[in-house]
Amino acid sequence: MLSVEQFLTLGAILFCIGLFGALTKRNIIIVLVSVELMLTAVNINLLTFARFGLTPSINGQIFTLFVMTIAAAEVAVGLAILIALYRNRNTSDVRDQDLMKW
Amino acid sequence: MNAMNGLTQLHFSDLWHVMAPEMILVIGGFLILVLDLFMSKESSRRLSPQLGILFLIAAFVLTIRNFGIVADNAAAGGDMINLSNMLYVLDDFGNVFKLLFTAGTAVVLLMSIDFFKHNLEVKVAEYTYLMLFATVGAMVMASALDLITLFVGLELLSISSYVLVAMRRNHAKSTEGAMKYLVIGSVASAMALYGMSFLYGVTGQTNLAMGASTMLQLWDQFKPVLVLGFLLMLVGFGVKVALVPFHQWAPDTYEGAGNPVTSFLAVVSKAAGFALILRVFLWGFSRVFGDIYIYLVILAALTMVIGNVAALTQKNIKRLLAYSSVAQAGYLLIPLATLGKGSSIDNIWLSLGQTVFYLVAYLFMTMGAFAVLTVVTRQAGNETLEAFRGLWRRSPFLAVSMAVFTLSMAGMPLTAGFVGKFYIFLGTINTEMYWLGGLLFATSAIAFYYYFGVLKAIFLKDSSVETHEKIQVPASIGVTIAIGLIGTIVLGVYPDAMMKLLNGLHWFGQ
Repeated sequence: MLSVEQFLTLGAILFCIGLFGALTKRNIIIVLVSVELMLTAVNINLLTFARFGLTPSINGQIFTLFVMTIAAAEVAVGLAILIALYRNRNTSDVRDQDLMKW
Repeated sequence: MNAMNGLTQLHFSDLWHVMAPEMILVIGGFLILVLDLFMSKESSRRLSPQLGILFLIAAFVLTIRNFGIVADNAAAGGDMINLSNMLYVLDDFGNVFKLLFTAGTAVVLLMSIDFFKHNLEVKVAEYTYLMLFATVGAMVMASALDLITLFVGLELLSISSYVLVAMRRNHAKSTEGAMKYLVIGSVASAMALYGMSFLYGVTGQTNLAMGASTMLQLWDQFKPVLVLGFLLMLVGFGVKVALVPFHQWAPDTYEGAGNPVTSFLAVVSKAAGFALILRVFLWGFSRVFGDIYIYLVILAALTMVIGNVAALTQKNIKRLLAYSSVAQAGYLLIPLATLGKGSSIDNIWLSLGQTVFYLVAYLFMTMGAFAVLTVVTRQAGNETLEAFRGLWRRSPFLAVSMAVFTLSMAGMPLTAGFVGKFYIFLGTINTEMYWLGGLLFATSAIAFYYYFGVLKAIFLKDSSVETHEKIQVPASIGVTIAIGLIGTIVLGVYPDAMMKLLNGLHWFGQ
């Protein structure tokens, strides 16, 4: 039987990988994927608490559905903006986004 | 209305009773969306913003009606008016913010009419309904009392704003600013959500009102987890209102976005972020606020100092205003931070009054400044301070207006900005946080320096040869500037009326 700690650790590890990726990756698509990873970590956390929390309740599962829906909307807008950006600049490299500085 | 657990049946009349302004805006947004499909391109471009302003005014009026409903309910001694077991509440805290959002967005749309004429690639109907939906998101953030609903409101505002920033899609800076905003904004949302998941895990509730009492019982046992949750949420919300050190997106996004969108981000989006922060921390963490307020104090101090110092080196006027708006976020956080020292109920009302007063003052001066900036930078063809050189000769009206707005932002007496800052300062004295008040003063002095640079360009320097002709002010921009001027001066000269109104409110429905 898996314990609560193991689920939470999995969530924490995923969250950290996602945050690391979002901060260091060069390709904007990978950055967006990393953000999704962070949201997955949130979902694991919420589901763990909904099942094994101090006072388990259905709210966590409902929260997860909302998080998934909104994450999809966010990434759709992100990709649309990325396409517009690519048409303007011909690059999706984070390091090239330097028209405005300081 | 009934406190039964489980499912409560919702009737349309209940919904309309509590969320009429939100519903009218949603209906308006969809109406504009559908009408756009049937109208010719020209008439859609002309009518959409006007329809949008009409619906915003309707929402404004309905919100005013809601003050009466709350007052009647409080007089009758009823419970807080709410939907589905405190999922969504109707109180004057939300109402005040809703007035601010609807009025702010209406002024933004007014400014946009001129923006559309000069940016033909912008799809007007899309722009208008996204503005309305973003406003609905902001209103949900001000009224919801449940983490799930708050999160949905926050994302409705954020996602609409990402698209609005990218509206000038052939403009490289615009798409770059939008991309930066989107990436940082979604990382921030993920962090806030991770924080919320810990809050939910310990209290077993997504509802702030019900979670608060559970949290007090479990505070000692689970303090590290709860503080971690609080900090993650603070980071997430801090990004939305551009607190230092989470402000890096703000100057780039503000510079990239079109002027009306920038003023929307600076005023409505920021006010919504503050509504969310106040709602979550005053309700969810109300019982344990004494243990966590120190983080807010640190962020407020950092934001004031770094926001103002970074503004000193800016040559681009939009970036200068962006850093200035970062600094204003620091001032706005002070009333909440001071509650840690004296969180009696009177102090809470006082703090809310200070925050809202400053936000209203900030609305007037920022909208006005961006309206002036739009005309001036367009004529000059660049966005540097040079564009303002000799403005006094070219257009005395614009010159004087800009002087009033910048002086108000700096905190010159007889302007709204001064009164707002003064009330916040009094709050720090009340709660004996003298050093924070001193810092407010010191950083305002720095602010005077860079605002003075703008004034010097306007009045003392001669304009370069090629831009010597008079500036024509379009009607919609002129009206915006006039609204800003009247608001800034009236609130500065005669603030008592506004303060009296704020003091008479039933902030949380009692």
